[in-house]
Amino acid sequence: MNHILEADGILLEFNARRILSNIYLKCKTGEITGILGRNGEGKTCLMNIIYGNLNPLSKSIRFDSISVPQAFKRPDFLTYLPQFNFIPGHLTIKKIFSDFELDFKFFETLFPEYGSRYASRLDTLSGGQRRLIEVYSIICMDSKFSMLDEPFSHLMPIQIEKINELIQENRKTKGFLITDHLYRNVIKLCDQLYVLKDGTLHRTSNVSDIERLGYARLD
Amino acid sequence: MPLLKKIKLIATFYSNISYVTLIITIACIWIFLKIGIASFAALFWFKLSSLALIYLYVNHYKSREIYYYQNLGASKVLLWTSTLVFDFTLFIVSLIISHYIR
Repeated sequence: MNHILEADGILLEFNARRILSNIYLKCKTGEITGILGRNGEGKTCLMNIIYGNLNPLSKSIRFDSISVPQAFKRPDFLTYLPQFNFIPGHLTIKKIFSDFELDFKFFETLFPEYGSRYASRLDTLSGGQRRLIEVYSIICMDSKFSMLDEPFSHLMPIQIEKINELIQENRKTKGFLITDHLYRNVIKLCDQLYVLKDGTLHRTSNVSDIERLGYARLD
Repeated sequence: MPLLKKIKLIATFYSNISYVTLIITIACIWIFLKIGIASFAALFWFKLSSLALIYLYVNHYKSREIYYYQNLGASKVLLWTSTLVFDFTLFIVSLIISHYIR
């Protein structure tokens, strides 16, 4: 079944400084939506507003036309990978996979290097290994939509390739909203791409728009 | 979310702070056994203040971990309400039992 996540009417200000305005964003099951933008443009704020953790002056977040102002209470609808480590370090990989109801054997076939680490605490892993567990958990968790804030940070190129494949595999049943500064990777993955500039989302129709909007210089 | 899963998540969250809160509870019981009912008011406010400090500490230094619980369906309000109510109830029940033992 197809689902729709919509965000609009978002108005965010910090100390009278307008951060976001006139935002409209639509994401569907089976689609990967990318958001690019310079640092400080408000990409993370936008994701936190959609998730319900940040209260702007106004917003309307809808799942299948039903308003859900606090999406964090509905992980069956929406999950969120923040840009920082969020899984408590004292938890073991076994416990994490059990909580997220994920199959470790499948994970091990993709990333055999974790085979001996099943009982390890997360804080005994390297930064990249830890991030991979977090990214994998959110991508593969059962939900209608997932927002990924910088999912490729700290990952090796070969892991990024596998994460791309996982996203493509999981898009069959869910929609993704992704932001990352590895923009070539984001462009490759996404069905629709927005650039956040001057507090507003600009939908791009071709890659040259990214350069025109001042995000990256494309060769 | 099934109730059992919710309880497991709350237990995971509580395990994060339980070492400190339980040590404080045990210390309070020891003082209560030594001094008696006269120490109740002081211990009551001491325990309450320690919980407030733990709340502030965790919210400041471990605020990022809330996303783990939110992604699994447990809100910040649910985690803190159940944890603090459980810990404080445990403290009161322990004092009542200690009172009868004494």
